[in-house]
Amino acid sequence: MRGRAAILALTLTALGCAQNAYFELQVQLPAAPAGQTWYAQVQVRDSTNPLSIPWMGPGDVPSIPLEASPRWDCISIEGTRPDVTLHVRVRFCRSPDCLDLEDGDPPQRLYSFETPFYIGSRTYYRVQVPRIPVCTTDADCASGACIEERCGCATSADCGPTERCEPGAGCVTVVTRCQIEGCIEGPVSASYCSGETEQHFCERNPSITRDETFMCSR
Amino acid sequence: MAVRRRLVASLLFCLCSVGLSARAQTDARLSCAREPSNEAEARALFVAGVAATNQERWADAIPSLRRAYELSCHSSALYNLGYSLRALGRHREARDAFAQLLSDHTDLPGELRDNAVRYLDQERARVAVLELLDIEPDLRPRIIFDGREVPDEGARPVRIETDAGTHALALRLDGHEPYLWNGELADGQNLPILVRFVPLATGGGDFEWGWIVLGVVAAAVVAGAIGLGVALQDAAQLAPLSDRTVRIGGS
Repeated sequence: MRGRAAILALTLTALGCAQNAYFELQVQLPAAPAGQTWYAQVQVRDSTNPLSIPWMGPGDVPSIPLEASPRWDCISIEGTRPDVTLHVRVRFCRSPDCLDLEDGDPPQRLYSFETPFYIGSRTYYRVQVPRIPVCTTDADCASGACIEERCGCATSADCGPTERCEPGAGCVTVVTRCQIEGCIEGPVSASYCSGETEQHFCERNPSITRDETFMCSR
Repeated sequence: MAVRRRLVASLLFCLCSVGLSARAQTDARLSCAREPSNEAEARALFVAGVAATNQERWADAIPSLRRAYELSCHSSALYNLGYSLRALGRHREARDAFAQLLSDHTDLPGELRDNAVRYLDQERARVAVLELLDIEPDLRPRIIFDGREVPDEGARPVRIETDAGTHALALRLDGHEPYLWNGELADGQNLPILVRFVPLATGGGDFEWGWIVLGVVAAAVVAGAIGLGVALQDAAQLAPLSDRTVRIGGS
C-alpha cells in the first residue's frame, strides 16, 4: 500500500500537478460594542456536519478579539476534494475559547458554500457581519428574527431569499458555486460560471488567480 | 381540543385574582414576582403569547409567555408555556414547567390540573438521559454538553437530561486527553456512557520509545525513497494566502 502511494506521489510529481485547492474566506467582523469584550471564532467543517449542533474538535481557527471598528479576518481553507460543500459558523463569544459561562448559547452566523474547491485553483468569498447577532427586537437582526435574544429563525419565512432556516441554529446563508469567486480576470463579477455551459470558470481556467481581491495583508 | 385548552387557560389569566407572592427560585424553576405596575405589560405579553400558540408559532410564544409569567405569577401563563415547550419537543423544559405548575399552583381548576398531570407524565417519559459512568467521585472534570457547561455536583453517575436529537459532549480533566462523544438520543432514551480518561503522553516508557524509534526509522526509509519527489511535489502545491489556515477532508 505504501509502495503504491509512493509511486502515485512520484507520478504526480513528474506531472507537476497540484493536488490541493484553497478557498480564501474573508469575513468582515463587526466592531465590538463600546465597553464590551467579544471574540469571533470561525469554525469550518464539511457538510456532513450539521449546522444545528455545536461543533468540537479540529476545524476551528483561533478566535480573534473584535476591535473598536470592523476588521477583516481571512482564513485559508485547504481542500483536496472538489465535491465537498463547506459549512462555516462564525460565532461570537465573551471568552477566547468560547467556554465562558456567558457563552452557553453564543450568537452566530451560519454559511453554506457549495463546492468551493477546484483542484489547483484558488477561490475567494467575502462575507460581512455588520453586527453581533444579539437582539431585543427583529429590527436588530441583519438576518433572521429575534428569538430569545438571539437572531434566529423558526421557519424559512424568518430568513432572507438566499437563506434557509436551520431551526434552533439560525438562518443559513447559502452561497452557490457560481457565486464563489475565482479563475477570471478583470472586475468582480456577479457570476463566476459560464452563462452558456454553467461551468465554473475554475473548471475552464484553473490557473488564473485574482489575489488583488484578498482583504488581509500577507 | 388543543385550542380549547389554551383558551380555557387564557380566560383564567383574566379571572384569577389570587396570585403567588413574590419569590425567587433557582435551577430550572422560573422565578416570578407580581407587581401591579407590571400588570399591563404582563397581560400584553400573555395575549401575544396565546395568539402565537393559536397560530402554532411555538418559538415566538415561548419568550412572551415566559416573561408574562415572570411578571405575573399567573398559572395560565405557565400552563401555556409548558404547552408550547411540549409542542416544540423541548420535553425537559416542558416537564419542569408542568411540575412547577402543579407544585406552585394548587388552586388550579380541575380540567387544567388533569391536563397538566397527564402532560407531566408524558414529558417525564420523553426526557432523554445521558449517564456518565465510571467517573471517580473525587474527580471533577469540566463537562461541556452541546456547548454549555454542566455543573458537576459530585453525584455519581453524572446524569445529563436533554431532549431527543443529535448531541455533543466533551469532558476535560487536567493532564488527560479530552473525552469526546457525539451521538443521537431518542425520546425517553437512557444512554449509559463509560467514560475513560486517558492520561496525556509523557514521552516515558520503553514501549512508547520503541514505537517512536520504529516510526523514525520508517519515516527515514520512506523519506529516502521519495524525498526528491516530495520536495518537487510540495513546490507544485498551492500555498495559503493567510497564516490562518484550516484543512478540510482528506483523500
